[in-house]
Amino acid sequence: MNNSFVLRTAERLASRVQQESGGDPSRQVDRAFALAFSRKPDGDELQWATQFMHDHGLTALCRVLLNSNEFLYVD
Amino acid sequence: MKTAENHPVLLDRRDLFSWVRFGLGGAALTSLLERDGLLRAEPVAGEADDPPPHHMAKAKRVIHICAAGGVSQVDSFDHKPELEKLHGKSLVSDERPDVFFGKIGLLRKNDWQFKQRGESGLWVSDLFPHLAEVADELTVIRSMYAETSNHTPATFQENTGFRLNGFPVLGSWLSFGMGNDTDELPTFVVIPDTRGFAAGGSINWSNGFLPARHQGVVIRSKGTPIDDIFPATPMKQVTESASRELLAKLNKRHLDRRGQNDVLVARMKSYQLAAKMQMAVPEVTNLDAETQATHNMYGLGEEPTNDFGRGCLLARRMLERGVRFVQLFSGGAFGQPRINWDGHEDMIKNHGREAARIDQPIAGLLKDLRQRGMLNDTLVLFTSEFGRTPFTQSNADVVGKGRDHNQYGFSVLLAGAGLKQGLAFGATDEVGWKAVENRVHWHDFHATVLHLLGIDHERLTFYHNGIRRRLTNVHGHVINDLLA
Repeated sequence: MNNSFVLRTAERLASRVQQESGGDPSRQVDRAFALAFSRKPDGDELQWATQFMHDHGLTALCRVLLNSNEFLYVD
Repeated sequence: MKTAENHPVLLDRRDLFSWVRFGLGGAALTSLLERDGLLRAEPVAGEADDPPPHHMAKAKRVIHICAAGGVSQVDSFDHKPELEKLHGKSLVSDERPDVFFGKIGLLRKNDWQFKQRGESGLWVSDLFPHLAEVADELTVIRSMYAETSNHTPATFQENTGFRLNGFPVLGSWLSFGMGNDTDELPTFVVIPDTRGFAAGGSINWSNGFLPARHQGVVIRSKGTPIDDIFPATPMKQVTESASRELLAKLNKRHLDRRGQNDVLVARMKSYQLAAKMQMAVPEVTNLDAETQATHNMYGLGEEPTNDFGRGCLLARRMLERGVRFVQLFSGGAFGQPRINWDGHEDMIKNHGREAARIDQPIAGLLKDLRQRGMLNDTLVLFTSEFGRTPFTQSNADVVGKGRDHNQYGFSVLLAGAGLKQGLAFGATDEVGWKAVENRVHWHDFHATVLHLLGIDHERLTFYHNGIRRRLTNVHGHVINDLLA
């Protein structure tokens, strides 16, 4: 979560999401979830993530996704 | 979260409960911690089916000093006048000794002189002059034996009772059985030797089949205590806490979709613990907060004691803050160049070097724990994988300089809560080769340690692969003669 590699990767993911989905927050969250988890966020997740992104930015959101159990563990 | 600086701590409700729980025994410690503003943590429960205490506990916490390699009993705590007389003679035995490298040289007397120490008259050699000063605190088992003289499986057996890997170590069993007195630091902390990990590395602090949250957490005594505990590039505190909150929500949702899963839960808990450790670790690892007199006692700022002294002082600071079990390694992996207790080539050089690193720090630790009243309910253990041969590792007609591994007889030390002090228990044969009187297997040692902690070794179990597993397998007897 704190290692420089993870932080760099979060920045790279954020710029890719930005590039591929433009400026619309809910499209950004959709795209970030699609890239990280290969699925759409559910209603709650969309709301949590959008609010979080509004307060703390897209890179911070990408860092959280990269540290989630869903991203790290294959079913 | 409250910090010591901006919130002088009064006795709040939680502190009061904790004070009542630990009773008068904990009162001294409690007042110390309160003075330092450290009582803000909450206890973490264990998760055994049949939770301890099973009887009145004498000890609440443990420091285990693990000497990687084999410490020579005949040069340290097992005085053998007969060996001195037989120096340069062949071992008289009707069996050919089974040793690791297969070379059986002539008998070699102790390289360090033995003296009786303290009021107890306990025999301690000049290999450990500082430990000799606290001989009256020590309890020595001179009749230990192990099932192997191969480093890696011997280390497993020392810590898990089993020679194969995959079993939980003592620290993990205690974490599982007893929980922790703080939720801000790990229950089971490992402080490796600054020169490297013991053979097998992190497998030596494995939870085995116990839930993953019971594995040991490495905290270094030198350099960065824990890697990556803070972001590599600074981040706003509000973003940090919001990130962890979102992460917890996403992980919870993920877990709900999948049902209980030990690894996922352990990882979630590790984030909660890590957040608290961001606050607690810089404080606990700040050895500058200790007085110069304390630094001197542990040998800080001096060579060769600085590294291990820092580890011992760090261990004491963790115990004060509620950590259950701290394991300190003296020595790294086997091999060349030697960085552990493995005097195959030259005992004087090898043991002389290793003992000088740890002797004063361990003695300092014992004195410090005693003066703080902590030795009354803290157990200190000093063990190695096996012992060394009374004959040298050399050609048959030569008195060599080195000694080979010896699984058949060796000594371990205990100190602190609930033990008869200044006692030497059990005996090896006349040259110190094999344990012959009151022989003690690791299972017996483990059963006794658990007993002192209020645990019946037959009742601390975990169901795995069709068996209710124990630290002591289906063996182990508490050594009642050691108990005060």
